[in-house]
Amino acid sequence: MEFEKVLKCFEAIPFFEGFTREERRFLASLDCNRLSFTDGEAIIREGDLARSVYILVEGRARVTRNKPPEVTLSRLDTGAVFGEIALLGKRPRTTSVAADGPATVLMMDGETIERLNPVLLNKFKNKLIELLANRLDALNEQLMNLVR
Amino acid sequence: MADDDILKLLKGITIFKVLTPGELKALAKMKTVLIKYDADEAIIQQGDIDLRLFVLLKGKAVVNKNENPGRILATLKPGDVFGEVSFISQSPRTANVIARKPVYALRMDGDTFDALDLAIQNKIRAELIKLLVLRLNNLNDSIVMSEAMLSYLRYNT
Repeated sequence: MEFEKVLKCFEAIPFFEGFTREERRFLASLDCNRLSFTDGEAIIREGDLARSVYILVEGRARVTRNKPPEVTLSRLDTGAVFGEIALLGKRPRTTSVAADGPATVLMMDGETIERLNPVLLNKFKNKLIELLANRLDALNEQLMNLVR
Repeated sequence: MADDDILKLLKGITIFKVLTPGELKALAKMKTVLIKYDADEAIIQQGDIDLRLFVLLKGKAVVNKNENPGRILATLKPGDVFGEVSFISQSPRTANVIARKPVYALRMDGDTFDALDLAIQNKIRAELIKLLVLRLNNLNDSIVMSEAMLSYLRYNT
């Protein structure tokens, strides 16, 4: 995908706010695939070994578990970054993510991320950890509402 | 607190089991303090920017948020590690941790952690991330179970 387009996407997404202009430009220059999905199509499959991180640039997505598949764990909106657990935790995908209506994502390769220079890698991982912490918060809230 | 006493305490904590004896010794030299908190005293305050990591050694503490202080999000017991989100991501505190009984906790300074050997830092960070992922996973499990139970109840009542 073209550099300028990727950069424009990155600039519109809160996740990249903490990065300097140079860092953002560098991240946008990395190999990055733009993929489109139809309604219900799987973007991530629970159990898969891939480590890529995704940025939802258009549309929405749903997070589920294989069992029972009808329970939606969370909904992702345009601008969401996901797939961080496999990269940070070095483990197979813990949930599935499927397009909720037509959706477009940018896929950042996990190995490419791991090869970033240590300073940028740390910054990137810190942002992913914040993301993880926010998810914990949201899930806590969700669970409290369920069991109340 | 003497280095030897700290070393002894650190040895018993799960997330530090990945460290070699030499690395553990280096960790024990970090600015670490044993602190006593009274019942109802705040150990961590939501919104604060402090990068310290805690290990609860004795007593009991609860986690809540300012938005709804009555809701207990988690209960911490001896051996539990907490404060790891700010410690590893250097972001403001996302919740309060409040002593329920008098608490003894080991407090590790985030700034001195950065001065440690990178290999030690990375090992501990990896362990803390594992802890976060595990928590997330458990929460996902609980939500799936609760939702399934609720829909069963709706369907059968």
